[in-house]
Amino acid sequence: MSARLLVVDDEEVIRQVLSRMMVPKGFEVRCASSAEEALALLEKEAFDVILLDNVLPGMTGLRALGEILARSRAPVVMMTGHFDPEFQKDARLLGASAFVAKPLDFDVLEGEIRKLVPEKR
Amino acid sequence: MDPLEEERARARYYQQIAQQTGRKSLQEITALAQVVEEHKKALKALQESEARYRSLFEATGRGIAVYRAVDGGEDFVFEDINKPGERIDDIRKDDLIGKRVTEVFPGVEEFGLLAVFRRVWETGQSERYPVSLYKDGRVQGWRDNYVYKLPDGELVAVYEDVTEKKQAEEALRQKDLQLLHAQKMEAVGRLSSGVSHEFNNILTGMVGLATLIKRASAGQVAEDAEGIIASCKRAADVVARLKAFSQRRAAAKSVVDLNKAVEEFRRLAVPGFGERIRFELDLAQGLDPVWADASQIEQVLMNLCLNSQDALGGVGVVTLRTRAVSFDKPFRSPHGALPPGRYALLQVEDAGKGISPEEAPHVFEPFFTTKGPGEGSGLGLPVVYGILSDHEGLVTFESERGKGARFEVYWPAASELSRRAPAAAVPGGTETLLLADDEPTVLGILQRILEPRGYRLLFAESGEQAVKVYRSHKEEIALLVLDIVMPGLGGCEAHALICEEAGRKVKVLFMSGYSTAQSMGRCSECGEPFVQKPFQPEEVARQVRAVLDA
Repeated sequence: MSARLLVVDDEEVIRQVLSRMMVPKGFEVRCASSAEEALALLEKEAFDVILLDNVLPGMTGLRALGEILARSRAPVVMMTGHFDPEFQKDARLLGASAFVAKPLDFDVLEGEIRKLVPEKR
Repeated sequence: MDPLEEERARARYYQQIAQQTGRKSLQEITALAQVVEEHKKALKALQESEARYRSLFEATGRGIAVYRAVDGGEDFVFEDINKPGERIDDIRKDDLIGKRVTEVFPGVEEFGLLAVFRRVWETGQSERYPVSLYKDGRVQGWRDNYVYKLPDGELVAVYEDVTEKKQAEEALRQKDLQLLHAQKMEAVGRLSSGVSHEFNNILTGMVGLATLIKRASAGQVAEDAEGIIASCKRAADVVARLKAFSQRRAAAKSVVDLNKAVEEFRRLAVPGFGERIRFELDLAQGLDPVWADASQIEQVLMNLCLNSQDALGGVGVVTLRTRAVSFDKPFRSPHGALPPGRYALLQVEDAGKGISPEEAPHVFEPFFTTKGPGEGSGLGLPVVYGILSDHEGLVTFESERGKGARFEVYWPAASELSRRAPAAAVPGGTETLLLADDEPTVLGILQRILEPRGYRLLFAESGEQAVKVYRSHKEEIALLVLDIVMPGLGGCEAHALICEEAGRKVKVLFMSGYSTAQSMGRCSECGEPFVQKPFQPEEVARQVRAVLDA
C-alpha cells in the first residue's frame, strides 16, 4: 500500500507540481486549496503525511495547524515562506513535525516526507 | 522776582554783554540777546529730543547699530550701538566704536550682510536681509537684519537674534523627518513581507515545473530546465534578503565586545575583499560591551564594507573605527533617534563617490541602488537598518557627493538596555489582570513585568482555564492578557466566550510571537489591541495601561 499525502496549498501550481512529483515516487496524493477543504477531507479520509502551507485564505497558520491536528494523527510538515523561529516554536508546541522553507527544495521536502513514513517505504 | 527787578536784572545783563562784545547800540544788544535766548531754547529742545530718541534706541528689544561709510562705501565704521546690540553680539560698545565692521565681524562678508550694506549705501533703498547664520571664531547665531540709510548718509542695521527660534524649528523639522522616515520604512517593511510571500509561492511553482521538465527530458532541454532552477534559486536569495529587512528576526543576542567583533571580521572576512581594498582599524579602548547578535554585527560590517568597496570603485581605503559615546539628552538624526545613554559607535568610512542630497533620503529603502543593473541588489543598507532597529540602535551617515561617506552605527551598551526598562516610568495600577498563556515561562515573564507595577495577577495555562478563572473572579478582573495561539481554545475564542459570560465586552490585550497575527498593533482576526512577543517590558506595561485607560 502506498503512503497517502495530503497537500494543503492555495497555489494551484504548487498542488500540481507536488502531485506530479510525488505520484511517480509511489505516493498517493490528495490536494486541498484551503484549511477548510482539508478539514472536510480529514473527516472522510486518513493520510500518512500532511503538507500544510502556513499562509492560506480563510483559516490560516497556527490556527489551521491546530484544527488539522485535532482531526488527524498524521504528521504535519509546515511549508513556511521564511524562517521565523518564533512561529516555528509555536508550531512545534502545537505539534508540527517538520518545516520546509519556500521556495521549496523538492529533494529536501521528499527527504522530510520519507523520514515521517519510513515503515511504508 | 518782581517784574521791575527782573527788568533791571535784564538791563544789567545787556550792559555786561555790551561791555564784553564792545557793541554800543541798545538795539544791537537786544537782537543779540534774543539770538542767545533762542539758541538756549533750541539746545534744550535738542537735548530733550536726543534723550527721547536715545531711550527709544535703547528700549527696543532689537539690536541697532549705526555706521559711517569709509573707503567710498566699501567698508563701514561703527558709530553707535544699543544695549540689545551689545548683548546679541556679546561685545562692549567701547570696543566697537570707530572700528570697521569687517574688523569686528570678520564673517560679515561671507554672511552676505556686507554686500547689503554696500547696496543700501549706494542706492539709499532699505533692504531686509532674511534669516541667515552668522559665524566667526568668536560669535555665531541666526540673525534677521534690516538695513536702511539715514538722510545724512549714515547706515543703520536693525537686527534680531533668532537662534533659539531657529533651533526649535530645526528640532521640529528633524522630528518630522524621523517620523516620516519611520513610517516609510514600516510601509516598505509590510510591502516587502507581502511581496516575498507571493514571490516564494511563484518561485516554488517555477522550480517545481522546471524540475518536472528536467526529469522528463534529456540533453539541451534538461540543461535549460537546470538553468531555470538556478535562476529561481538566485531570485529566492534576493527574496530572502528582502525578508531579512522586513522580518523581525529572533537574534541570538549576547554580550559582545564590539572591538573583538571588528577584529574577527578583519581576520575572517577582509581577505575576501582582495588586495585593492585596504582596511584601517582605529579601535577605541574602554568600549562598553553591547547586547547584540554577533553574527548580525558581522553582517552589518560586511554590508557597509561592500558598500564602501563599491563607492571606491574597488580601490582604496576603508576605515573601521569604534568609539564610546554617551548622550545626556536624546540624540536625533534624520534616520531615527536614540534615548540618552551609553553606546558603542562603529564607523565605516571611505573616500569614495559619496551620496548626493537627492539619494540620501532613499539609501535605506530596499532596491534603491545607484549601482548599475546586476551590480547590486539595493538590499545591503536596508538589512543594516533592519538589524539596528532590532537592536534598539541606530544607523545613520554623513556624506557629500564626491567626498566619501561615513556610516555611523550606534549599538546600545548592554548595561544600558538592562537599565533602560525599569528606568522609564510607565505608570502601573492596582487592577486585577487575568493572564493566559500555555507557556509557563511567558507567564513568569509577565509576572516579573507587571507585579512590581502594582497589578494583581491571575494566571491560566489554557484558553479553557482562562474562561474558568474568569467565571470565579468576574467582578475583579479588569483586563485579559491572552496568548492568541494556545492548544485547544485560542485567545480570540476564549475572549469571545468570556464576553458572552460577562454579557459585555471585556477589555483584552492579545499577544503572540507570530508577527502576521497582528496588523498595526491590532489582532488581525478580531481587531483588538495586540502586543508582539518577545516582549519589551516597557511596551507590555505601556500597552496594559493604555488598554485599561481606554
